[in-house]
Amino acid sequence: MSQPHLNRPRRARDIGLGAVSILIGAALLLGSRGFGAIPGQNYGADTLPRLIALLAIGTGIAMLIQVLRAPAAPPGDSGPSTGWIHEPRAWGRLGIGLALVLGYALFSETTGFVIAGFGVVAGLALLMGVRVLPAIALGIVSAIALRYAFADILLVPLPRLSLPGTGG
Amino acid sequence: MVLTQALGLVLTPQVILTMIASGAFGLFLGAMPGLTATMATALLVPITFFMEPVPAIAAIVTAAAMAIFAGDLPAALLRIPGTPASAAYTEDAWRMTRSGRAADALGALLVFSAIGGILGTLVLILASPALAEVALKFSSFEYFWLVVMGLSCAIFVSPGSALKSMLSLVVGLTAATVGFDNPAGQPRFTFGNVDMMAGIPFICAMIGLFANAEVFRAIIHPTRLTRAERADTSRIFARQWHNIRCYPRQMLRGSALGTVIGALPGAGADIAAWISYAISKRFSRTPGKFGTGHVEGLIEAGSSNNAAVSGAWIPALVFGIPGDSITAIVIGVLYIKGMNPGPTVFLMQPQLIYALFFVFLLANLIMLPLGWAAIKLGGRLLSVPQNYLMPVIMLSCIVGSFAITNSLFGVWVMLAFGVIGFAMEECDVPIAPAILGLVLGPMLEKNFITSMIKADGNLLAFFERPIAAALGVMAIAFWLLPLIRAILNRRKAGAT
Repeated sequence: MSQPHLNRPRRARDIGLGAVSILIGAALLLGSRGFGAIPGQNYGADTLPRLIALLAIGTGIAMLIQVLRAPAAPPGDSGPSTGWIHEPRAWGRLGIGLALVLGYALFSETTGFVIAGFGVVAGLALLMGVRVLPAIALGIVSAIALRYAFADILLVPLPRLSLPGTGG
Repeated sequence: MVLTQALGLVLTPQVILTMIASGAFGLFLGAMPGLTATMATALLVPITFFMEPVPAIAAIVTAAAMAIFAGDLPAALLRIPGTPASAAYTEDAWRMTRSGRAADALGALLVFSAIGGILGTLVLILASPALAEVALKFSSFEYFWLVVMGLSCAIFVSPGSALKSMLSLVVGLTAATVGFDNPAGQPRFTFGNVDMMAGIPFICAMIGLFANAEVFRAIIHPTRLTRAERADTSRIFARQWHNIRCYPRQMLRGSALGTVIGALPGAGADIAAWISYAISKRFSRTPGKFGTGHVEGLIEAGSSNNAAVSGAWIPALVFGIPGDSITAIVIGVLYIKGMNPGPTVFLMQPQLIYALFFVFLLANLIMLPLGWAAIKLGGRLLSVPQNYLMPVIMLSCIVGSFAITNSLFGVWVMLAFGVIGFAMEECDVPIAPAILGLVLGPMLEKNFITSMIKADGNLLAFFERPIAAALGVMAIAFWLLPLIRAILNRRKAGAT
């Protein structure tokens, strides 16, 4: 098997992945120290985490060896497609997207599903370039439609508006 | 005489209308991220209390078969598999849609799901007792090797580097270790969180890994947010006769393997689809095309996962042992309706059993027109501009994840795995092995620990039983053959 050529960003990324794999293995080994065996047996709650740890460490080491043995890419290779990593605006957009879902998880039990759901949809739509009025309309329609489908038809207990003094 | 009675029980307006209504219900639930065939079955149970036995079972069978197929729709259209069983061929189906072959992909998934289901039902009719005997010979040793084969398939069929697939598998297996559900019954990696004690809900994780990651990519790459071409879903059946003639072996092999794996209690459609996809790639004349938008894997794995749904009924009907979570619910319904599953039901109520077999066949036939309508509707999804579609998908994912746990814990899990999935995809690490690791991790652990205790730590015991030995040799060959081939190729290259 011929080794793939690696440019600097790709090499750094694969070294990072190998290191992450080794770290997962190490964390599993450390974390499973406190797990005991089934009484009277040599095996128990620590067996699988330790086996996974060995697999993770082995995979990580193999990845590092593969990266170190791979020949360098010829000049002009533009690297992996993750060019957005160097764009602060892209990071900002990702951060806002994550914050909208986080906001739902943190506040939906207070605001209820419809308001929190509206916030997620309208916010994401605005983030993706939809104009204000269509984004608001999309948020209202989708939040009400999903509430109807899940809460009224499928009886999923979606969060309800609960404000002090409303009794809800 | 019995057959006529059975047909009379099935071919009534009440049964047919019930099947159409429950089929539409199953399609809706299966196509929604987070809602599963098991959930469709469970939701139908209270309604079946008021029905006669045959329409009650017909409703459940049709909804479950339809929901499993419907899981393929978001997989092909949006790269979001509805079930773990669809994850095996999501990449191929989605790439076919992207390259303007949505009709071929969706048509193949529909037609071969129906064929797999029908062939599985025929096996159920003709060979239930014999297959059930084989299934009961499976002990923890055989199950262990079966799971190892399933996991190995996930590594070797994923596109790209095998090491990155291993890393993905490590992520899934690590997540599977969380919670109380282990042979020692000790809480692991729960960090004192009560919700974590039940483990990581894999449907929420799957929604995060596939759907959330897709939305995050859409946020990052705004250039991709143009109005997508409307998926051409006209003439979805046109190429299927050609596919049947080109890939008869794949269709039969997928259906047969799916039925056998489905008949093993606790195995099921997920392992069946992965192993079938791997076998399809292994024996294909064009293995390089797999993962790039090739229909061959869809045919074999698509037949396999629906055949597994039929196969799961074999131990359920013959012994009253559920083959999967759906049949576990249905066994309860059968008892309520006075059809006590087990060998005696074949003697005491043969007309009901044959009616059930006809229901299976009819459910898979009804899948064709209902599936066609669902594909037509689903195809319109792609004509919606992506910047309108993605926010709604995100909210659907949030609601679907909430519905799994009935708490915000599901949403947190979805979000965490969404970030992990996004990072993995950006680093070219395939996601599918992580899903399979998460689904099969508990089964791997349970069967390994049980076997080790039974064998008193003797690893050779994993090869002492004939079926276990055969499966073990196959699983090891899976790992060794690529290595041996690589060494031989290197030597050959060195010699020249």
